[in-house]
Amino acid sequence: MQILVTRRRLLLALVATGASAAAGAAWTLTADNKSFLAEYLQRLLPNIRFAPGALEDFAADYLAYTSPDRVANIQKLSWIARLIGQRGLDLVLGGNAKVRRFQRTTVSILLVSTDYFSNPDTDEPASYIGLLPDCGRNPFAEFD
Amino acid sequence: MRFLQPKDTEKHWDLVVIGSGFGSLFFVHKYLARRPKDQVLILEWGRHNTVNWQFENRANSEIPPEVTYRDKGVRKKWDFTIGLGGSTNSWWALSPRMHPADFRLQSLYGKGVDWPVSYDDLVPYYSEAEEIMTVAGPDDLGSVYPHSVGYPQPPHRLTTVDRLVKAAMPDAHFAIPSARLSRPLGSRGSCCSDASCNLCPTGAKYTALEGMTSLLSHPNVSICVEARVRRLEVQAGAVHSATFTSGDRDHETRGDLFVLGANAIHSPFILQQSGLGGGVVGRYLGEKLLAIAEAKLDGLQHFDGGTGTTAINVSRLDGPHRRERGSAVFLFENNFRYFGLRLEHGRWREILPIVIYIEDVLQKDSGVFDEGGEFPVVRFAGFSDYAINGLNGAVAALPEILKPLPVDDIQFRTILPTLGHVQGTLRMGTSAENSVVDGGQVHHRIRNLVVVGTSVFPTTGSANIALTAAALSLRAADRL
Repeated sequence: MQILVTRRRLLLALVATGASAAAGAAWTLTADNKSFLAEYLQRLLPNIRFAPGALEDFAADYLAYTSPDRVANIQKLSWIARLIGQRGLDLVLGGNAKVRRFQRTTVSILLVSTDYFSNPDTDEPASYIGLLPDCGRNPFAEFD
Repeated sequence: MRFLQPKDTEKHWDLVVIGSGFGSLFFVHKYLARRPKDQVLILEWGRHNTVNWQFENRANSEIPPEVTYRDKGVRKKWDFTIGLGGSTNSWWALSPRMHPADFRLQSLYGKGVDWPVSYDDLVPYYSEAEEIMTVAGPDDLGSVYPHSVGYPQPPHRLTTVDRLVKAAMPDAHFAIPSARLSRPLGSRGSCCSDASCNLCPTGAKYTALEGMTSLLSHPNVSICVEARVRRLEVQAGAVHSATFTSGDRDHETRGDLFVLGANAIHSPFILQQSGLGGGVVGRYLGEKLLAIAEAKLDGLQHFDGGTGTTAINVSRLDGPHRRERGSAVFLFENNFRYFGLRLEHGRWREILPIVIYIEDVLQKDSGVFDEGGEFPVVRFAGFSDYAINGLNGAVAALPEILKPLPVDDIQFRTILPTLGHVQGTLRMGTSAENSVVDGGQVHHRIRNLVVVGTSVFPTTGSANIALTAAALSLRAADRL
């Protein structure tokens, strides 16, 4: 692995963090976000079967709970998906680091908000338990 | 707790304390142990936000830090908590000591300055602070932090990843000391490894509201919240009174001794507003650089430890490299809050997040300034080349550190906007020319004014700062 962090790169990263948050404020939540997010998550997890309504329930809670900046970014993805479809979205933004981070953190929050990890051997579809707001919840932790 | 209305504070106190975070409360703890009959007033800008309030509002304070200063330099966040207990509410409770060499950076490596306090000076106070905070930690850290002879609580369970690295480098990889209980204690539960430590769900984390109730409820301690101190009045070379705003009124309270422990942005501003600026007051603002990397693991399941951050790797903590680049420590994360689990089906846990702290050399051009407004102006010149070099060195060291693990790939991820370790603006030193306070944290000229908290740190080191701030306060109160 080779990475060189330059002073300029660091400053740009710090500025970009603030600029991204400011731009997000211009967007608003719409009801379409829920169905978009549910479909988007199922596409990211093609091998997991969810109970009927589980993804929609999670998406509703997640959108109600998550930060305005993040909701605004979901709105942007939703708009792009409307234009080019979810597959197009994957092609256009699949390699984007910010989108990748969004995918990983949101999938993590979803999975720890279901019984997926607590019933690893079951054939039953994963049920939504309730939103654990940050993706730091660790169902794998062990204690002495 | 004895809360006073602002008008009821307008009298003479033995000790007036401004701010109620680590620096202030550990000072009061030791002060009252030595002077149990003295009357103490704590003035806190923020409110008393109870634990329940903090949970219901998912915040530690109703005052976001960024509305309390104007940022005019390189854009950068600065994080702190305004409210009773200060940053004890929001911290993540990681509690390693600073390294002995951190106090002698100039002598050993020709960088920054030496502290007027040595590691050995702080040893008894480190131990006392660890005891008060009921720190959980290992018993083998004495090789890194001399005279560290064990902790009040056993360490949190290491991950499988940690055990492999520990076996390969036993003198460099340790369970990280943390002020999160590994065993239940009284009404406080043990850590649930939730990694949402700013709002600890079990009470495992040491906070003022959970762990200092006896101090805050001491019969000689009075507290006035929503009291923003604006200035100190100096007469005949001593602070005579503090003026604070509450609501739309100003109030004045008098005292024999004043302790300034707001934070490293607002403490210097109070001095500047008091006509006590100039020199290096407000200068040398900075903090460590915070970066994150990830290692993709091949078949090794991670996240099986007992707390959110399980280990500290000190293999790049000290050495000749500090002549050229900042010290670094690597925190092995047992949580996936930054970047999530892996997306590949069934390989969710095959990822290791690593947080890296990088030392910086504080620069005089960075600082807090009074430019005539309601709030201080912050001008940050950016991280120095010393920190950037330190980051590059740390990232380059990762393959060696992670050699004991089955690693597919290591990726540098990002630099985060703030570590919440704001420091440097009222630095301690040997004279009024190079510093604001002396080694006892007493103002060089105003001898009844003590400055506590991280604003007195003249260098950053690469460790978390709260334990050292607490130990310094215990010492400062002990020396009066």
